[in-house]
Amino acid sequence: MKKLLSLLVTIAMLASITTVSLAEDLPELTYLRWDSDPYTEEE
Amino acid sequence: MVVPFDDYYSKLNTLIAAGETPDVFEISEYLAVEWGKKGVSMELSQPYEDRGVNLEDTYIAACLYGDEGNVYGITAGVTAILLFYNKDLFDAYDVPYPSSDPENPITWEEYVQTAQKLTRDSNGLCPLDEGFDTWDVTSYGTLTTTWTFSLTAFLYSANSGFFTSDGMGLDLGSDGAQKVLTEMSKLSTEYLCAPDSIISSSLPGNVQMFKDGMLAMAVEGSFMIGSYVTEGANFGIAPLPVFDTPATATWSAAYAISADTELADASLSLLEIIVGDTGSQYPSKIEDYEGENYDAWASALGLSESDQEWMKGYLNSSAAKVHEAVYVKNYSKILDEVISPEMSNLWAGDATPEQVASVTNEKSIGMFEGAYELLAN
Repeated sequence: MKKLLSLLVTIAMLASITTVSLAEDLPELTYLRWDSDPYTEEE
Repeated sequence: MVVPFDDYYSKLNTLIAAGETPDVFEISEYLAVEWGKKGVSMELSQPYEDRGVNLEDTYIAACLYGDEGNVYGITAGVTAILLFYNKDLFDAYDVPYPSSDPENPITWEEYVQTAQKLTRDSNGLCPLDEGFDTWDVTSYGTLTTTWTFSLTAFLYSANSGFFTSDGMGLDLGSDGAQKVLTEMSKLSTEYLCAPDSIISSSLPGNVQMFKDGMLAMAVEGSFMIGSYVTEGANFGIAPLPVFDTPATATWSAAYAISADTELADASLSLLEIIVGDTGSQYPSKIEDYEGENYDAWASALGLSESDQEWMKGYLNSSAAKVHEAVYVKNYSKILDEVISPEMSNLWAGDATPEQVASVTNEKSIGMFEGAYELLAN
């Protein structure tokens, strides 16, 4: 399966709330999210 | 992968159809349970139990989206609808700040009176003064709450909702809902403390209006706190004005794990990281409401200490109720196709609350599918 995003990239995005040891332990995952808060836009 | 919200479900549905459902994905509150029931998302309670984590002991119930004891999505924090007020305008006209007691918020009548006192024309007159010029307003006391997500909280306060609690009908014809819609409409037409729909469409955003001294109060999601702080608005927050009982509505987008993932354990680990990043939404974890954890989160928001304290209690009070978007089945379709068009007619002055109730009841026949049983309900 084609990977959308490596966990390392994900971890980099969430750098402030994760740990290095966790990044080393986890395999590659796919993770999809949207870019902004739709509620803020709607208001 | 990060996708623009407008393209998000097109992208996600394409991946699912191709058998490439992402291991972990974000999902709107109104789809979180439905997709779990359809088998797209994994049931989370048991795998968490296998890791020694009891979800209900770990996360506040309002963050766990599921049905009949199963959980299919966890939110990264929770939004509550709050009253934001402009301290500069309250101070300038020597008006006391709204009550910050979640059990005793300001009443709707007090809210209207306060908004009238803070609505001013270019001669400094307010709607309570003779000679007030409605066509020359320089600052508005408040805005009409037209956004359905926020309006739901006021309907809750009148012991109502857009939907009946069993999700099998609309409740807009109830006495409570009619009162809310009527009073909300009067803000611009009778109380003269809010702009009408035409003027509203030409005004800048709420944060800018706060900064420019053009707006005294606004009903917003707690996710907007960060914007008010970042933009340097001199603001405070308070519980919503009350019709009959104190109420707010809570919700947030959720995060789910693919039922087909081959990396369940790693996905659970990632999910735990994601839902811990709540930004300016209320924390998801129970432990984050205690001691230093809460203080650190609340301080980071940039709120005053008094607001930090009452805000914590609001979500843990009886006022906080999960938004019906989360548990009413077929919510989005009924809202978009039936409710929203008629509500637009109401705010434009082209329909009365009674007509809205009548037309929406008629148009929604056959669309109801019931409600999910959330842990929080």
